[in-house]
Amino acid sequence: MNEIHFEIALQNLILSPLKVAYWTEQKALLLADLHLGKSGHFRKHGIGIPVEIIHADLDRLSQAIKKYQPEKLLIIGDFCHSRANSELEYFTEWRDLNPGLEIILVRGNHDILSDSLYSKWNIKVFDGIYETEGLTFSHDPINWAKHFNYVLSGHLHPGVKITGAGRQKITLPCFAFGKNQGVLPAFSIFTGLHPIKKEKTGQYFAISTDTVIQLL
Amino acid sequence: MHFEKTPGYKIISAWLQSKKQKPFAFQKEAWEGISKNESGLINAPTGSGKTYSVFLGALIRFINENPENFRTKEKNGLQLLWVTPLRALGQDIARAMEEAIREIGLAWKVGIRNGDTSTNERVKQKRGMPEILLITPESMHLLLAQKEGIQLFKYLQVMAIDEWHDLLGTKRGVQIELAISRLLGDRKPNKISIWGISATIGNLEEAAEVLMYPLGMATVPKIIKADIQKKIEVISVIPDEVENYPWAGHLGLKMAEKVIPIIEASNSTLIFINTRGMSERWYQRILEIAPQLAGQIALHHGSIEQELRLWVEDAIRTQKLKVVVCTASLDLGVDFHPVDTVIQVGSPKGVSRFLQRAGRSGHKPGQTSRIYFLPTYSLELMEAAALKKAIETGTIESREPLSLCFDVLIQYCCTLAVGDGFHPDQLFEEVKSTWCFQDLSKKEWEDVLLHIYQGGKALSQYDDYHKIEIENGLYKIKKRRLAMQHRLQIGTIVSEAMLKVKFMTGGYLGMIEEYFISRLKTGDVFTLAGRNLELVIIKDMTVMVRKSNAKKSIVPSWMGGRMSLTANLGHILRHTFQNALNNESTEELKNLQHLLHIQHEVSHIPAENELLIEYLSSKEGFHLLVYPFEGRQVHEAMSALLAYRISRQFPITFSIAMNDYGFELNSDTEIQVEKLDFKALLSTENLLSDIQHSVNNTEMARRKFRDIAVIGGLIYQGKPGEQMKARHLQSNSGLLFKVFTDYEPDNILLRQAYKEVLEQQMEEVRMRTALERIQKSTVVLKKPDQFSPLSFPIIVDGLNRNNLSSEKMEERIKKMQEKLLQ
Repeated sequence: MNEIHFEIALQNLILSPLKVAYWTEQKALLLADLHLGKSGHFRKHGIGIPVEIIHADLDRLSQAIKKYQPEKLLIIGDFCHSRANSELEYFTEWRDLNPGLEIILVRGNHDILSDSLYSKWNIKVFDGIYETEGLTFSHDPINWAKHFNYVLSGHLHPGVKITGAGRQKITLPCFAFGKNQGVLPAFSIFTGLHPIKKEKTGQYFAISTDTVIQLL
Repeated sequence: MHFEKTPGYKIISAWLQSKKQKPFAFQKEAWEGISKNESGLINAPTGSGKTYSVFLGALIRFINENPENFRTKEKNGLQLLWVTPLRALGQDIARAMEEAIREIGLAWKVGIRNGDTSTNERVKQKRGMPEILLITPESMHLLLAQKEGIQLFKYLQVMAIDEWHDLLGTKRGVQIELAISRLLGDRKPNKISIWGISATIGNLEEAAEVLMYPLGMATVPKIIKADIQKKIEVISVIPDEVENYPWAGHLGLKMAEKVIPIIEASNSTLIFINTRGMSERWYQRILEIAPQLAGQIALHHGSIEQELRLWVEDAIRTQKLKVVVCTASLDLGVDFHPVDTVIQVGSPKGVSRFLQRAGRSGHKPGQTSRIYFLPTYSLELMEAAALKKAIETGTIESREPLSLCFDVLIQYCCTLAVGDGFHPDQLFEEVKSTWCFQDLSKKEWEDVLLHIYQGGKALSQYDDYHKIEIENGLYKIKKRRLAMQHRLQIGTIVSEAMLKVKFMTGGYLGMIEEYFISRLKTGDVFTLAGRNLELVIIKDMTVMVRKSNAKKSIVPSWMGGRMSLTANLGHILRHTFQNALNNESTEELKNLQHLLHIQHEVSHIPAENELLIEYLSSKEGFHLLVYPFEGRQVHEAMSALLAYRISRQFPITFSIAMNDYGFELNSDTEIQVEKLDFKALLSTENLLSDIQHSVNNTEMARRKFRDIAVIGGLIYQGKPGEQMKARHLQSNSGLLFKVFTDYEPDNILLRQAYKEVLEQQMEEVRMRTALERIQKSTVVLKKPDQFSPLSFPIIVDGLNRNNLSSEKMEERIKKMQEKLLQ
């Protein structure tokens, strides 16, 4: 597995192919768009999506926790997909196995669960913008203003299109960092890719199976 | 009693006589068959009285069975079910039938059932069915999704399937097979007389067998041929200058001036264009160069609002229009008597489509159909020559029936579950009685049931999967919301995500693909239904526009599947090339001599028993070109196969392009092409496993999965143009394909995607035949210094490219980057 150390706004991030970033200064694991319970939501409505998806996502989360040993987990929105369904019980089990971890959620448009569930899981929820000393977090990219720190977001499910000789092209999930804002890849495997336009001043890191590659 | 002595026959033939008509032999034969409760297939061209052959037969039977009171006997229940692929066809036929019934003096009623039928009318039909119901395959299934829907067919005597040649080989055809099996399953021993009506295709016997299969082997389907020969005149429109380096579509519009004199010399003309986008351009171009046609010209394609299309069709009939630019949307159906000329722009890709379009002119028996062929690039003149030859020799394509369409089966099971419910064991027998599902195994049936009952693999601890409930062994969908959702989903025609287009001031114009509109900004001008429109705003799945006077506009590209040359036409084309050089026997070949000579000098003109391969380099990399002349679709598979087999010998990445004549493997590293044994690379050995490996890396199965996922109910589409109401249930087929591949690879719908790729996309059978032919051919390898005329259109047409790689992803990306940095 190949990760990349990346410095932005004087903060150190490790960009991991597990579709998370580890924020060294704060010992915090960052991720966005987990969409927990999405497959369960579909199944509840008569659409037979494979039941393994939630396990695959939670297993990868455990893997990241094991590797980076974070003190906190910061979810930049769309933690759960929709209203509650039984599948979320798997997360309750997961939480019981990771009781010491501090979990912070910056609410996204999909986060419509009742507050009692978040408190049951011991998750701190912030609406809109969540500011810390080093970075600012918001589920949707925002209108950046000078008084903000560098902003990290989710929501876009960014994918980057790579073209080359022989007219080849491929779209991969990516981390995208602009001048004042950056976007994390969607964490869940049951999410699509939204192709983003590359800008000259931006820095882009594509995820290809177990490798992160910086695009030049 | 001799059939011609029966009261029914006498009354009907007397009525015909009063209209100065006489029954044709094939009509008489069909009438007698119907009165004996036989089933069969009627092979007759449009405009030959094929409707009468079944419709009047049903009347005769009714009169003979009720000789005393046939004039007054009312409320007889549904007697004749008429399945038609097109809604518009239904209306026309209904009108003709009503008129006949009135004149003959029966108390029968004619009803229409399709997506446009009002709720009011539906309720009326449920209370008392009309004696004749005209219906689409989709609406037929919707009836089965009603509680006690099957009761509506209790008195059914005759079922007609119109335009069967068009439905055969499609999933709509499979819907018809299933509907027949349900009607017969409910009525043992069977008492329905089933009649297919079909234009000429290569496999008429098989077409009949597919339809009659649920009747059982004891019934030998009757085939009745109308002995009506249509005269067809084919005229090529020769460009003023035949380019030596042609590329597809380039020439088309430049030739527009040539059609004006043809239009002017004709009564009324249909211009067939292969794509909707091009038809918009043609319409505008013709108006530009012949403004005098304003008011007499119209546009007709599948994205134009239905009412407008119906108006156009009506205006053709009533001679209000002199010319209509259209697409396959006018291939089928209604008779347009005033039309005496058809112009085909670009390759029709197959003999039968060309004939069908030709047949839209000179509709009356005895008249000559006249069709002009206008090439969109000079090489297509070869096809014109080939088409003439094919018509001369009567070489017409077959339509291959589909087998084991699990997506349709899953949809059908849910349809019945929404209606009265089904018993799996009984339904298994019924489904197996169809041609499509004759080989359905118990295991596959269990997979289907598992899929709809528990949503795939075994239930896990926390699972809310919900769809079907079992009540005393009866499988039912009881939740109203699920039932409703399913009814909206019934059907097998899957369209791209479409948005409605409306004027700000109100007024609906048609549909446009979301993909296209998402790339436009406010203020951009685009063309639809022949008008230039300025985009104002997109809201609630509707594109609001205002009229624009801008000179420049963007023409949408609708993403309909590209048609592929048929094997049949490919064969004739190879033969045509064989003798092309120095052959001035036809006008087409005479005009192509210069191009052919360049091809000959730079490279080679392949004879019928040769396979031409060219290899050359350019700044685009290294190009390997192969010319099997098997059509785009087979080339797609064959190129992937060749790329895979080469890449097994050494790591290399190809990008692939193709047209109907050949394909190109483009790489950024050089190949020692002399060292390749092309016959071995194109052998049929390990074909199946090699194909499967080569397509694994391509997009084919993923693309096939799109329709399957929608038909099989994995994607909820809602009605086209309507906003998705189901919250948080959005997904796309690409994503579903990915998660099923990773987490449920044996899913029955995923398996079907691969099967369809093999059978339809790769056309395994056809590909095998093609490879066997290549084995018997001589490989001619040429290394031209420049692109040859044959290669040029393939190189230019880089739209349909697939990637296939054996290199590691990382290496590949690095290589791309290096290239980008240079």
